[in-house]
Amino acid sequence: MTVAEGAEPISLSEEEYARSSPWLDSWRLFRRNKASVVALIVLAIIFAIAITAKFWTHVGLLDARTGAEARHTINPANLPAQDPYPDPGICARDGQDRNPDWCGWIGEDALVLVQELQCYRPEPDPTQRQWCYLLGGDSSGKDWMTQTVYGAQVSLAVGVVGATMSLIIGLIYGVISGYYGGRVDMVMMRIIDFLYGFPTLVMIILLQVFFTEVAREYQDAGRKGLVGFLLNLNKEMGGLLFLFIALGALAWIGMARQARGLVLSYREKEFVEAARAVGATDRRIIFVHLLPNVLGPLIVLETLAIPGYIFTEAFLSFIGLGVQPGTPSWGAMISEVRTRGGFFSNRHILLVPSVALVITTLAFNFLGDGLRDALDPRMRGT
Amino acid sequence: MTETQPEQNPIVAIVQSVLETIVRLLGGASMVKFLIRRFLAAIPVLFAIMLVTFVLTHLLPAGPFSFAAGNKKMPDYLVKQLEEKFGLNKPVLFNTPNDGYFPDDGDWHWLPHKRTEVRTIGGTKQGDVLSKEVEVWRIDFLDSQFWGYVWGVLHLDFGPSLNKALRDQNVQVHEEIAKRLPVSMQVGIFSVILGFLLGVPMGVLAAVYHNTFIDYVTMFFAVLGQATPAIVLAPILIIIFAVELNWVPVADNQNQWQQGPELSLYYLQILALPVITLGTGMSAGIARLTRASLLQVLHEDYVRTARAKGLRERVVIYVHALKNALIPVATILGPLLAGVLTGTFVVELIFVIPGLGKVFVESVAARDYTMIMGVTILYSVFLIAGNILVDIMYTWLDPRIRFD
Repeated sequence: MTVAEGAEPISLSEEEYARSSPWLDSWRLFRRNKASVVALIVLAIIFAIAITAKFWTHVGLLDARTGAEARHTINPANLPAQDPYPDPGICARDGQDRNPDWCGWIGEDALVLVQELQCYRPEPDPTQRQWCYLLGGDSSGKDWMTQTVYGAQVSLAVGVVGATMSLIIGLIYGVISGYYGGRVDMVMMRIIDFLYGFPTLVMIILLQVFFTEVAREYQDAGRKGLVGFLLNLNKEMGGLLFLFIALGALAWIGMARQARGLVLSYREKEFVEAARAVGATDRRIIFVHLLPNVLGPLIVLETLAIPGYIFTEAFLSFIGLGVQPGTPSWGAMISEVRTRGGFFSNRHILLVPSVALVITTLAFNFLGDGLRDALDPRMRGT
Repeated sequence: MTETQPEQNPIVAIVQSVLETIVRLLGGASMVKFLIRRFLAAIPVLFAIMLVTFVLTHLLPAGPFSFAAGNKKMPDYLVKQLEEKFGLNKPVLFNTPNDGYFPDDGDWHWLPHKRTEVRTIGGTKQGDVLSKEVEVWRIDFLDSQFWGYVWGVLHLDFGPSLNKALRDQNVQVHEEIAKRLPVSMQVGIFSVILGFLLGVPMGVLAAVYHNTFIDYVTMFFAVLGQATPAIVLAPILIIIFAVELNWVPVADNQNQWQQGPELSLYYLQILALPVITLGTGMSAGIARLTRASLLQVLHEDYVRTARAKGLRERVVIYVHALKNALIPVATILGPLLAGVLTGTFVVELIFVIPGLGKVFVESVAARDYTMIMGVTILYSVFLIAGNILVDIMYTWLDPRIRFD
């Protein structure tokens, strides 16, 4: 007894010791890592902005329209001829109707927007509302800040849903395989080995092409029933639903392997044996004794995997296979700049989605590091 | 009667000793058994990948012959002709008795059987064309597109490309891949080299100066490198070095990628940006791995012994610790090489490099079934080979690991 009392950490007061729990301990450890705390705050801000996008739209900071129709026509006189991108701070007045009579033969097929802009009435309509670009805009007059904020919704959704889905599937699969062992384990691990040979990115691309093409075909046909419901849901979500499925189809494999390994290592530990000795059921052992131990390291791994999901979405949108055209996405924004020759033109509009992307993934990386210190006792201090 | 042993054939002896050396190099008989098992296990995986890809691509709306030039629709009779020419009129998975494709009903047999078929052996002039009757073995049930393709793959025949520009010149898939793969390889291998050259020293530096300013700065850059995807890094590099400073061309305009590596300024110029884009991303991961692994090794008993012996710190780290610390780092070489071949999509698109990734994306858009299949199979083979390579490297680098 005296030994136990002596072993009590000196730094903790009686009161602190009383309300110490594994989660509180983890929180204490997490707070120690300053970079992670900053990352957590940054992420909280990004999440808050993305979720409250509707509010900012209502206030008037963001454009009410996104997608293809969200273009403001700027008096070409305000734009330098070589540089058809609205600078940050430039303002435009809507209501400059497109008048084909002024376009001539160029107007209909013109790719270069300078030419297209000449189709608009050069004089702004003073009765219309004025629109100001805070972060500039792209060559078709879309507001870049609106696009970035709505793009954050897509990126965060992909990251969080991708991670949650692969965590849940991988956890269930891995725990069953690891806990029951024997033939069940062998068969389940054979399936995993099998899926490991699939080239992930190639499969995601093929699935996405399949989904987008089928969606287009069926939407024209006006499909009803479950397929129609899913297609409508997908359309409402801007193509995110199928993106989740394509990303999640193979993402859980690595997680299942990790979960199985952890369960295997904990299954033979003394505390599990003790629980079994006093007659605990399988369900109790799994949910009370194994899951809390397994969950921590897996959450860490998933947090560190989130940038991967965000990158994949950005890449898919970059090559035009991600979200539906018109849905704002950071990858699609970068692609838009590239296809319109933006590398040679106004640079800031490339910088906006790039910086947003890097800050978000950087924050997730630092958050993951902090969570590892806090939740994964094996990795502490490395 | 004492008879001497028959003189052993010298060639047999040489072959035997060579085989023994190979077995020893691979890590003993158990390792060879393990490798054979892995290779055998790869066969059903490859088959499944082929099946999934085949079904997915054929389920896509529109086919390779839907469009003529631009967005014009191809006339039906031409589509029919082309489908017949490339065997796309056959059923996709199985040829059943009553699906309207030859043979039907009475002629259809479950068992393999011999049938006389008419083959047209053609020349350019009308008189050259001969119709010849040939006896062939047929399994009617498997006389479909998929099994025909599998049969071709077993003979290393990946079929002709269906992409318009390529099929007009009668280009085979394997020819096109043979042309594009070296291009992707150049980028991939050089960026893996750059990744290791940057990453390992960074990781060692961070571990040696653990918890100091140097550690924090190095690790910050490593995390930054990991957080910057190619679609962000590549445009920024282009803007800085190609557009602003004008040190390098934005894209290769002298067909240098196809001609292969050479020691010229121009080659280095076009190589620089793609390799930096991929290499820095890789080096970040390698640096973090090296650091973590070295830190772990530095806590081992034998390192303490080495220090207690009074060895200099430099010797302890570079001779004793680093060799073991690099084991996990070396093992990511396999997946890295495999991944870099598949992961160069972005870089190839942005820098207009005529590599495999570009071909794949184009062939998906053009519904070039055979090319999609060929590239996917190649990627899978690389991936599986990379995973096997990891296991071999484990045994090479750490003799304690055995696959029994």
